[in-house]
Amino acid sequence: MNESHITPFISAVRKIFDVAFQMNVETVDTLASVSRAGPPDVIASVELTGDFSATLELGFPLPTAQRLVSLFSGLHAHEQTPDDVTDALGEIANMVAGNAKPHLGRLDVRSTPPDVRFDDQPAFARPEDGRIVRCISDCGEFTLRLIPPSPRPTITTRTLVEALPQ
Amino acid sequence: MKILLVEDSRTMRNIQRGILAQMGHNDVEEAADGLDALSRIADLKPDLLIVDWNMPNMDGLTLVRRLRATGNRVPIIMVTTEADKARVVQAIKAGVDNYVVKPFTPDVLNQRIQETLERAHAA
Repeated sequence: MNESHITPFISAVRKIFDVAFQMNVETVDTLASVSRAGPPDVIASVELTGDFSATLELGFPLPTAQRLVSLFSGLHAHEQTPDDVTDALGEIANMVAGNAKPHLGRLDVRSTPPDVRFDDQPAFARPEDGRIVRCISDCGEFTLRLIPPSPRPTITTRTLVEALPQ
Repeated sequence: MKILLVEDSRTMRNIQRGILAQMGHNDVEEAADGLDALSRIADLKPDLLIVDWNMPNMDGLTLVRRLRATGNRVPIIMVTTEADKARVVQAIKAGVDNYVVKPFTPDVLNQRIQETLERAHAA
């Protein structure tokens, strides 16, 4: 994964907000750390596998998430259940991934069903990995992040031997 | 005309149902995945299927293949986030009659439905 791989995802976010919500999205900054964006309350993610491996994460403050769900589902914020938020944000993440995939080059890329989680903890476990793009819309700000796969630990004979009980 | 919506997202089912209602299609049944659709299709006898690709239990492509393998020729529109041309070709080869990439405008879905039904009637 290189820096340019995030570009199709930024374009996909803009397209989806334009077509589905008739809304412009500005991507004004690429953040070096989580703190500037603030930890999201809700994260919708899709894992990409195959010739390109990464996890797409869209992170929303709750008010932004609720406004988007209202636009998408027609439900007012007070009518929304966690299932409604999960369903709608998952579909948005799915659309972003699906629309970005053809623009990743001539790659065979598969995506998993979306996962949506509500986090009390700062959401990004590895803030040093991946780029975080701040997205500004009429519904509020949210973040787009592409996380590279975790490097697999190298297990050598020596470390295995050291791990064995003496 | 009876339409069967096969889509795991309740939000998307509601959106599509709303668009179909605007088009005058009120006889709309829903299934949450391919397996659900397959178990009910013989009883429902829909005139048109609108099918998502990525669904739990049984995906849309498998549903289409299963239906075509049994000789069922009901017109099928795949409505999916899979925008890759290779995926479109894969779906058409499996027996899909038309294809819509999410997100879509009501006009696009309307147009695809009309095209699909016209082709089915002409065949």
